[in-house]
Amino acid sequence: MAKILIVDDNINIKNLLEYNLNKAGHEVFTVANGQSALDNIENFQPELILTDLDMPEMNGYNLIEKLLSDQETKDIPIIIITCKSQQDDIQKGLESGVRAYLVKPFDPNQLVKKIGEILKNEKDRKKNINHR
Amino acid sequence: MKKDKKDGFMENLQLLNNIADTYKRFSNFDKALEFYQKSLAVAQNNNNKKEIASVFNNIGITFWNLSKYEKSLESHQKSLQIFKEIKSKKNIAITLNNIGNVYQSLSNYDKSLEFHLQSLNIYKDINDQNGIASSLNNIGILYMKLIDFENALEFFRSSLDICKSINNLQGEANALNNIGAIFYNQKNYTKALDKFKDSLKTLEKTGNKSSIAATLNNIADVYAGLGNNEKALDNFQRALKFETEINNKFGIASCLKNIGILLQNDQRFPETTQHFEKSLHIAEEINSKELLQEIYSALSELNTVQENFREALENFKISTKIKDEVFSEESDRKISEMRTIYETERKEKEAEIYRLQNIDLKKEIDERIIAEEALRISEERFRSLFEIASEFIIIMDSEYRILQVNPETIRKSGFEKKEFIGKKIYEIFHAKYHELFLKEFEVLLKKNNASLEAEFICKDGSVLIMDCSFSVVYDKHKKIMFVVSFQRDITQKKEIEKMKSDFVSHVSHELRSPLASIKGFTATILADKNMKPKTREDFLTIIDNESDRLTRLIENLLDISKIESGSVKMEFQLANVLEMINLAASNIKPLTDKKKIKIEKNFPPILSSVKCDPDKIYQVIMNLLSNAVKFTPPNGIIKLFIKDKNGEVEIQVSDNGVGIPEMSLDKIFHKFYRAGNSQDKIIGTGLGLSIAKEIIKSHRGKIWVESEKNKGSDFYFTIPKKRVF
Repeated sequence: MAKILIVDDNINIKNLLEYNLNKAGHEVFTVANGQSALDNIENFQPELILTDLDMPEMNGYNLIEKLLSDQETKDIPIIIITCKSQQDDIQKGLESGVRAYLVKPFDPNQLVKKIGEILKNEKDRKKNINHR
Repeated sequence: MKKDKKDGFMENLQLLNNIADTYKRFSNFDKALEFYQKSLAVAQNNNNKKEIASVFNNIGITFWNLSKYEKSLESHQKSLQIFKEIKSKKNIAITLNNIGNVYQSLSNYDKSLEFHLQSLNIYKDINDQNGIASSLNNIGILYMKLIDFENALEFFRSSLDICKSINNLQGEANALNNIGAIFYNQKNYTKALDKFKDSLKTLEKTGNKSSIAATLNNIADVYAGLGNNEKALDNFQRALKFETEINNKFGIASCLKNIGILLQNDQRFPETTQHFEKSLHIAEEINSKELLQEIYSALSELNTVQENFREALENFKISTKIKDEVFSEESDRKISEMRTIYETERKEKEAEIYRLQNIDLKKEIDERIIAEEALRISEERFRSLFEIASEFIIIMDSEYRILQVNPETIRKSGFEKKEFIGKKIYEIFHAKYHELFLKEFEVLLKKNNASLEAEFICKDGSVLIMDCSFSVVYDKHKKIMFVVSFQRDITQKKEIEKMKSDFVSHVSHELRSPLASIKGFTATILADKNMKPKTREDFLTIIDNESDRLTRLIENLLDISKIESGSVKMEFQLANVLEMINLAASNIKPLTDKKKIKIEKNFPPILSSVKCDPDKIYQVIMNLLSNAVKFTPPNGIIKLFIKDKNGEVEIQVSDNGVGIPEMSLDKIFHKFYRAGNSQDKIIGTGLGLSIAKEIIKSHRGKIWVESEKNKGSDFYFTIPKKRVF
């Protein structure tokens, strides 16, 4: 069970993700843009972040850049969930350092599984670090 | 009894011909010619081709007798042509024979033989034995002239055989006479005498006095050759008798002269003188210079023998003078003939050369004119191309230094010509492309052409994206003369391409957004069998709403597609714009309420109806209103104005929102264009304003925008009150 931050201005998508992740036992916190995410991250301390790219005030790319450049947040796994389906967009997204790039529409059940895998890998990675 | 006209004509013709023939027989050729001409006129008046040809033939023979060979040939040719027309083979053969004789007289033996052979072939073709014999005889004479006695003898013998077989006595006698002449020439006097005598025997059967006289003369010559003066004299005297009977003055004079010579040999001088004087008298009468010269020569010899040297000298002088005259006349005639032939041939050749030269010259002139015209057109085309081209045309040297730019380059770039000249081509482009230029120049030298896209910086700082192509022009020594670059401004094309690409990306984005909800909630409902009914209902409502949103988006796309294809039909009717605006304002109220935006209406109390498609105008109003709501911050104001103007109604939708950047104002109605920064998540397809523009355009109205960034936008459109076509 993990704390997951959802960053999306589309209220329907926020609700959809929140319902499915809650159901999977995760604790979910939702915000509508990148700036709100940064504002609340310290308070919420998420273990994984799901973010859209097109958002007002601060878009997904800017948010990712700031998260990855901050020592406190650089290790938090990030998954992009977006309508941007062009090859250039996907490449740019993956090159930004995120763990996964998901194009809408998507199957929430598959997403939940994927999140489970990432979190497990993250736990294993941390274990390895501790053992050393 | 009245005579038939045709009979009368033939009689006249016959009469004239007879007179002419008689004159000819008596060697009065001028008179003969005169009557033949009369005969010709009669034949021509009656258009009797056969007679015309026959008369021409006789005229030809007469000219021949007068040694006027050119005229003779001319007449014979006319005769030949007519006989060919009327296909009279025998007469063709006769005429060819006559032409052969003329050429023989002209010493043109090749030509003569050619015509005689043609004649012989035709005689053989029509199996005319007399004709064949005559031709063979003539060919024999020809060979005799060529001193080819063997061949001559063969032809004469052939002729003789035929004449004997058909009992042609005259022909037989002629052949024998000619055979005798060959032997005489070969100084075989015995054989010659036999043949002449045989000929004489045959001729005596024919009674042809002229031929008998000629043969007796020949026999006399043989006896003279044999030194038998007595017999020679006897035969000359017999010949003289026949010549006198037929009044052949030349023959008479000739015989008298010959007799005189023989008498002189016998030293019978007074008789000799008597004969010579008689002969001289006749020769003078007929003006036969040939005879005169011979007689004076004989007289001179006689004077010498009589030791009368003074007279001998006088007669010798006269003889020589006549000889010179004859020679001179002969020479003149020959020269004249040769000149005639030469001139004719020269003129023909000159005409041909002139014709060929003319053809060549004309061809050369034509080719030059065509080439010059082509060059002129080519230069003009190139100049025109260079002057009026809508592309940049830049000419460089082999080092890519600019030598020349066309007016369009100057006009569009804002630079002066001198600012280009001498610069390296890549220096007029953005510095980031320099390396690309250098790389392409390497390709250019290998492949002779290259192309690239680069940003050209204009004098005012604006950027043009140029599609540049380069070609190298070499001289004949394969040395670079210059490099030419054609550059097309593709800035707009690139913008449109980007707009389309952005539109596809945007449409894809907009379609995926409602689809994400539909797909996500459907999958959630299906996976969660224990979902609370209330939750399920909420989720289904979301699916329903998102489906509607998707439908609207698709309809919008279809609208623009229809507008683009021109298949949108307007349903024009009288309608009140006021009602439409009120309805739109009412329908947009939930959105304005949500953002606490106030709508202010400034409408006239009475408004004229306009002829329009109400649904479409409502669509335009709703689009402008919803845009205003989207771009107006909460608590803002949207103002609506309607102005009843002369002939049209003007509608204004104003907001105090973010406004439109100045650079976007002229593009805001373009398809797919979205103003403002993309960070602003304003839902839309980028098609609304372009749809509105097309609708107003089809009403013959106008639509425009006035805006200032951060102060708001004023959208206007007009509709004519009456429908304008």
